[in-house]
Amino acid sequence: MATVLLEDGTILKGKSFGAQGVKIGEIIFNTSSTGYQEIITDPSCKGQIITMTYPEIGNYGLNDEDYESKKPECFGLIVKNYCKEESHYKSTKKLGDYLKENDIIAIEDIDTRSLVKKIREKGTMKCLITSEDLKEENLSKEFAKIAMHKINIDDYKNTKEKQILGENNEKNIAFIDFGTTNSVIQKLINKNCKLTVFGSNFKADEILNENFDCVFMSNGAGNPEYYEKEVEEIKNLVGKLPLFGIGLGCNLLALALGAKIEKLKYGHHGASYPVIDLKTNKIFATTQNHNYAIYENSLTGLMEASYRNLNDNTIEGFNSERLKIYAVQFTPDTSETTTDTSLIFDKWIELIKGENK
Amino acid sequence: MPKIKDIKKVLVIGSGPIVIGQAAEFDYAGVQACLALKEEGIEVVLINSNPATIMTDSNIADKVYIEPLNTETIERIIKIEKPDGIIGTLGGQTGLNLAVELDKLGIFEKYNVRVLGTSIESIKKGEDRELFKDLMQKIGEPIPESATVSSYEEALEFADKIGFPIIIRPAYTLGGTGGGIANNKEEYEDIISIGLSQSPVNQVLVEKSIAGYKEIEYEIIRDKNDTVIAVCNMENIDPIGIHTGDSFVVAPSQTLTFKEAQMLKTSAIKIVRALGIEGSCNVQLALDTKSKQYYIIEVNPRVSRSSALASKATGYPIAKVSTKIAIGYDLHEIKNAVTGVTISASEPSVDYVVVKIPKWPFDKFATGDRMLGTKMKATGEVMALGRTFENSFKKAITSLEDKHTGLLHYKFENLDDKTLLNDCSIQDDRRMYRVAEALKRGVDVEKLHQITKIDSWFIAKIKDIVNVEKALENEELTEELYKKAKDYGYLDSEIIASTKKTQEDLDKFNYPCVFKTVDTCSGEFEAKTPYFYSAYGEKCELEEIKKNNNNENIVVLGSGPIRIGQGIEFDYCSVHAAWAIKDMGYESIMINSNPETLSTDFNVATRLYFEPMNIENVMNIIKKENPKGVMVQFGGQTAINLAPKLEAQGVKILGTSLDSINAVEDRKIFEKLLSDLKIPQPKGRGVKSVNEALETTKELGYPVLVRPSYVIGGRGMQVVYNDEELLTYINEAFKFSDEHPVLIDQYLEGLECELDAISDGKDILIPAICEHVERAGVHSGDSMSIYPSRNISKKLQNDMVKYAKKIAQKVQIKGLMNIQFIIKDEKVYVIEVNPRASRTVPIFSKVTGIPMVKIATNIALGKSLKSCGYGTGLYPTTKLVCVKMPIFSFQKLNRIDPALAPEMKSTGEVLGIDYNFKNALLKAFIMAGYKFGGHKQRALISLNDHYKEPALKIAKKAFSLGYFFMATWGTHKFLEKNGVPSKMIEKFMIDKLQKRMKNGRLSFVLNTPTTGKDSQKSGFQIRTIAEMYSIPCFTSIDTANAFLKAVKTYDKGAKLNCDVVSNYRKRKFLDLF
Repeated sequence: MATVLLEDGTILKGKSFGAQGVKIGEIIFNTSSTGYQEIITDPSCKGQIITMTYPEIGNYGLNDEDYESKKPECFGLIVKNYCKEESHYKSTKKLGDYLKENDIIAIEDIDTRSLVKKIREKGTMKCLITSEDLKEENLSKEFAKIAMHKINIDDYKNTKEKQILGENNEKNIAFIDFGTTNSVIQKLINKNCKLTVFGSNFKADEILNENFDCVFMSNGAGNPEYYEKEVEEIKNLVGKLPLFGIGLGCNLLALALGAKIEKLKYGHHGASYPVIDLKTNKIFATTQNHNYAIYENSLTGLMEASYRNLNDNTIEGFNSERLKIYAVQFTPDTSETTTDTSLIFDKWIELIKGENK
Repeated sequence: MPKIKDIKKVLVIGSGPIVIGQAAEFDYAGVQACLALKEEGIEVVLINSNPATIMTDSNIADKVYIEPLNTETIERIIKIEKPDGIIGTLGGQTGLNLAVELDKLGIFEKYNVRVLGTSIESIKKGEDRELFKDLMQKIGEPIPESATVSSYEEALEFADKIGFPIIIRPAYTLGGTGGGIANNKEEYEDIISIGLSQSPVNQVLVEKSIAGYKEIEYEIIRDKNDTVIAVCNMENIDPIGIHTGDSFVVAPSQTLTFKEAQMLKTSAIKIVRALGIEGSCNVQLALDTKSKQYYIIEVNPRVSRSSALASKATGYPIAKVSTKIAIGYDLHEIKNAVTGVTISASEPSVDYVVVKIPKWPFDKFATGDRMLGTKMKATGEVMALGRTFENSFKKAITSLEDKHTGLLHYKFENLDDKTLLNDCSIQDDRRMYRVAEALKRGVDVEKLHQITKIDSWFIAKIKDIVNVEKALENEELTEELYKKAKDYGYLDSEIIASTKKTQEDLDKFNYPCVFKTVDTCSGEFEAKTPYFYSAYGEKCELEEIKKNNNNENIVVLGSGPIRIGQGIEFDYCSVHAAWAIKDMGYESIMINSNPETLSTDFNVATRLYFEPMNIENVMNIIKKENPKGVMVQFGGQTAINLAPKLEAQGVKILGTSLDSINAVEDRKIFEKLLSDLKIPQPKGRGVKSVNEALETTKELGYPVLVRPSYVIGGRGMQVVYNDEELLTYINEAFKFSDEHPVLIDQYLEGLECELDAISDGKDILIPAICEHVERAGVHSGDSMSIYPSRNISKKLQNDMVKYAKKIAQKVQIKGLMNIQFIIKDEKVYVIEVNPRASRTVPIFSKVTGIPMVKIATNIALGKSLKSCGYGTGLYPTTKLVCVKMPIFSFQKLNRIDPALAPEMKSTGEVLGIDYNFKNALLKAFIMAGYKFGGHKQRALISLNDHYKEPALKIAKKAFSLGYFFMATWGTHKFLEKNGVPSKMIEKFMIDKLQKRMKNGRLSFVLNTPTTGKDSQKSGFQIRTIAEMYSIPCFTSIDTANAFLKAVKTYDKGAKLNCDVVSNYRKRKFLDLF
């Protein structure tokens, strides 16, 4: 038996199918019925213990093409029914084996629906996940650990050396990588973008010194408020270059423009969140993975909401035409085909083209 | 208010009679649509020829036309009603084809009727092979390469280009005859040459075979603002090669990666946009198992069986939303009825697994061709929801209501390993059980995948389930094993049978059944959907739903999957019962396992449980709900069969009691009852052995009717003329009967009549007495019937009413009852009493205007019949005359004898209504698809000795109407002797006759089957060929006689009326004014 403890005192027992050990993180749930490989390897999930609402997980194993990062950053995975016998021609690994190798604790045979409802009611909580069968007498000690648990903000920062991708491509983009996914980078490269990738330790001056067409603020992990320094740097870019942002990048751009960010009760994590384009009234199903949103009444005069989530009406994107800032909270489609949301990248790229010519 | 302001009246086209491939799903969709329109204040005009539907009730549409579904009639209705708009995408292929045809004739333009929702242009692009192909090429979506060829050389050129396997389909042949799949050049040459010779236009279609690809479906909805969502995707467990209606299906897909699912979804959305759909559309795709290559198989630009399944699987009301789109709403303007928070533009997400399994009629048609392919054969389907695939799959198997509820013991234990493995490649209805048996023997998953092409994921899961069944049989039952078995959906009854434990032993494990909610959003939002399924080892969600709610509730048992003999009529009754219960201030609880039907729409009852109709599953619900009682009289034999088991567990049966049910279902008690009441009955007896049977027939004399007791639709019933036949047949009857005796009755060949009655045990109301066209010996479901009766004297009618009242009082019927009679020599015999709703309840409710189910429900809940306000005794007839006509699906089922028999074979019915009998009769034949007018060709007659004499009048009549005969030797001689000319044919020259039928040079066939097995052969062939070419084929002289009457009416230039049912139903005395 393995154990999950929530900060509200909930105790859940299941079977371990991942790594041995114990982790404390933040519990969330994801409503996508496929895509567990992309979800657990998305760096935005750093520190999160992910509950999959769809009960059958592991079905098609893992393949070499669908990893979103080199190493998964989530802390744990909770499912109803782990499929031990996967089936797919591309599969190179069982999900359980991958989790073990990457030190991620995973538990199956959990009443995930009840767990989701708990998260829905109480909001995202701190959570302890362990492959151990915790004994009754030790529980209070473990709950105390959860209460004491503090996050180290620096763990969330994706600091790194400058790196160039898509060397010979046409558009020259400064890409601030707060912890993005492979597919976003690949998408931009495929769209003929040369990416100069900076970590969260970027400096505005450094970017302004080079001749970039625009700056792209990527998605990433953690509370936007962890990024005070970065927001200050972004402020120095505002008005000087077109700025684009997705996910965390969208939040940071909003903060830089003076808007406020609120924590959603239990976030948006899944593959089919309905978002309305406020210009066309067209609606798309979007992939989302964020816990924070722009606070409704905090948009400044320079900002205009461009997308809204139709479930809870939260802002899913904003523009500032005057400052040439465009950002969305969700993850635009990164597949090779043309879809409603993959067009967002196209439109942005179109914008910078116009800018330079 | 509709968004399009000038739409005030809308015409909805229904789908007609239930046939294989077009069933109750369109009643479900139609009702949703009509209600969605009415909600907007729109007046709804409905046309459908199917009287068993709920949509044709007066509370669903404003104006109901039960009239022929053809363009002439619809034009007449348009002329009368002047609708502003029409929706043609709700009535299946029938409705769609009619809409296209009407458009082609310029009728919409002529009367200024706007086509709402998906345009005719879009429909054509989706339906026309060539237009679709062009469109797919234009937008770059792949379809399997194909070519039309008229020589082997051309065919070879195609084969060289794309390689084998190739599917060959001869152009314009019926039922895919002469086609096949070629795996190599030799096979190819053979099939091509046969195909070319069989095609009247000497053409065959050759197409790249993608058999073995994964088959994936998407249900897509698009609004006029170009917002598109995917409601759900579904994966066929059986790969391409088996019709999706005959496939095991799971939702959502299980073996696709995120990228694959996105790729297919993107493709489906692109197609729906290119077609310009405004409403729902089903897109079927095939995906290679080893690459990213996919193909579009087809689209259905309308609601479909799959959209009904997707609606039930997700809780998303596709038909309702499509209708709102049709009248101008966009997806974001339509609230999600489930959550009340989210909107209809949200794609549903599910936190359970859905499995659908088809229900095939091969238990009835033992001689039928069980092979599955591109032609659908299932009559119905079951669906189960579970928290895991294993649970859902096993529950779906249980829902089939077969004798066995597990995966093993389907008589494949005796096959040797080699045969078993070989047989696993056979694609028939029992394949999954063979796979299960192989898995039990330890055959590995990969090997079975190679043989069956079923994805290993599914086979591995089935292995897990089989392993539990195996463990139950061979291992000590531990707590762990018990819990696992319950998690996997095994029933206590199965566990007890395998482990020899007692229920008390199992109860000690204390592992209760719980219920989870279907909410379209995986728990992300608070939903108040009253839609539940069972689970084990988890938290029950019922308590929170029922928290502030102390209302008394009543359970209605549904009728499970649609099968021959138990069809949509019982869904009609269940739904009306649930509504009546609510009207009386109780909560209604619906239990059913059929995804096609309206009863499993969560809006119908107060709470819906989607569960197998097995006693354990039903009791699990009853234990939680603690109802005031259970209604068993509306769910057909499925529900009635549960009654004794429910009562044994202390559950109150509402309405007619179990003792009363037994009094009429148990042969011995029933016999005594009738003789006590001095009601005549054919002599008969229940027997339990062959010797007893022989003794009985000695006493009664032949012919006798042999049938098992407690079965659906006269299953296993046969008229037997001598000892030899009795001996061949009786053992089969014992097999059907289980522990119950087989019934042997005197066979009286008289006029068969029936009545439906409602009683409170004191008074009785008889809405209608009808008489059958065919003499006794044909199952009532398969015979044509006439209301009001024409050949029953007042005196005999009074006898019937008297008998019915006596029985109702004596047995204490509290609710519905159906009695079947035979009149012979001016004497009424009672042959059968059914203490429950019958097949005719929807029809009689409509033609009399008496809400029969509602009254029955009121009585079952304690009201008196008198207080219901419809009087007592025989209800007066009106100006309305109607003829019910059975509809068969033989074209879909190979090797089934179309001959009428005591065992039911029809799948649906139509109802011809008019102001006089002749018109009603002609209308019924027209509705059933018979063609009138045109040149009269030869008719083929072949009669057995028994029917020669009675048929003479009919032959003379046909001759006088202008038909010429071809007759087999004996019949020819007989006709000659009696002065009717005919051309003699030596015997049935099948090829020659087939050619004649193919070229339409045969008007009809009259063939009364001989009973001996050998002589049956050629007659059987002729009948099936006639069926294949849609040549009218009569096996009862009475049907032929009725047909000739209709021909006569037509030839005289009859003016058929076209009116709403309520007008036909006006009282006769109005004539006086």
